[in-house]
Amino acid sequence: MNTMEEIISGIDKLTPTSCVSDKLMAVVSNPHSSSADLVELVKYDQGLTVNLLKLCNSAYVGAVRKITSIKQSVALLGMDKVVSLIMLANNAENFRNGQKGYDLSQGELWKYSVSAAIISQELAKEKGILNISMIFTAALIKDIGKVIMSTYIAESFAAIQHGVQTKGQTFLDAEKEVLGIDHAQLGAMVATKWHFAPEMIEIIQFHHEPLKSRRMDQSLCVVYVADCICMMIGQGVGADGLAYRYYQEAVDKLEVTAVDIQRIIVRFREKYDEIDALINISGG
Amino acid sequence: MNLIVGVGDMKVSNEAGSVLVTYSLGSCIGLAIYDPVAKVAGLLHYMLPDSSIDKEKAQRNPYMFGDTGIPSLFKAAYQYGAKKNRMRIIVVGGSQILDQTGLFNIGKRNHALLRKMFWKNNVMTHFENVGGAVNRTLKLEVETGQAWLKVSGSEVIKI
Repeated sequence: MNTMEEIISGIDKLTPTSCVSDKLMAVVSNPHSSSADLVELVKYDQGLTVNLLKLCNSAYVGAVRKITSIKQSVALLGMDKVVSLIMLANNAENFRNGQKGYDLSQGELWKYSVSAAIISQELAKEKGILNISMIFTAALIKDIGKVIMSTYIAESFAAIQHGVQTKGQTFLDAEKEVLGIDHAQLGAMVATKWHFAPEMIEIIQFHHEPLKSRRMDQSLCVVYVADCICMMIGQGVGADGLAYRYYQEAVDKLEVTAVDIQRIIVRFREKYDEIDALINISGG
Repeated sequence: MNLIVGVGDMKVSNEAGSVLVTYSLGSCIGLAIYDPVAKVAGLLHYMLPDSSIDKEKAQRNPYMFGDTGIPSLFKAAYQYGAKKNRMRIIVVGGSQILDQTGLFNIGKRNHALLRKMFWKNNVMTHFENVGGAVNRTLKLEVETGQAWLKVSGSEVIKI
């Protein structure tokens, strides 16, 4: 088995999103899903229900009264928010450990991923883009490839770093040149295996290179721009730093201005403590 | 004891045994000041250059912005007996995503704002490590003024 095949085989070592993941993905991908579908899906999973209710009652969500059931959570918070919280409750497991190859200690990648998902969600809302749950989930999972790649990055770090520092490569290009595959491509393979919707797979695969996507739709641009904002803020950023390329085209597609980006950063800072608590409750 | 300076935050201390630390500076700036006579250390981690973007929020938290955070840091250090002419000043951060341009280049603008304010107020920096596409962590020991910098992908260096 060569290195690339070995890396790909690591997909099977991940914990699948949840025992209800396939059905949940169907709900997430379909904007016409009803709240009853969602309640039905979650109510028999006791562990998930407990975690979900904890998140529903967190300061970040800011519910006006205590939420005690799934049905009530959907009624009070709406489908999109509840689906986002289910995704948080369900996905921390794979991200929890540190990723040494990327110089990330325990919980840092989860912190980064949750921040990117929250900023994506806000940006999508602001731009009136539908499928917010789908965008949130894709943004949350987009770096899952790093979880698998980490060990191999550690072994080949000097070569990757050389590509970034002396050849002007992005970290992604250097990963691909040295290891035969990059974390975004690998993430898309994980998403395929977990039966994510094609739009989500596309977002995960091209979240650093939106211009390579044939669609380059607004959802992808939202996640790309949110990821750039997270890199700039810097929390949970590892050895790859900000060594990815900036594409003005993606920013233009969303009609986002420099002022918009700064306002998003200010809003993120204002909610920082609540977001931090949410990250801790969700198990990062 | 580590006193952690979060994103858009500031801390000043004269407690021997404390270390001011700020993690993961991306395009943000970490500004550390130290008066070796008064043994006062201060560390600011600001995110954006200009508070005119949201004056109300800048009043609630001036440390988010360079134009309000930098004066706040110096004033807080003066209250502990620090003097400007004795200060050792370290500036790190201001990174950018590759090919980031113009107004979107917050890292560059964050650093330019600091340079402008320091020039106007006749402040000299003693160590700067800014720009590039890297992430940085900065530590400053209160008792000695010893500082350490960790740049992503590299070993920790003593400043």
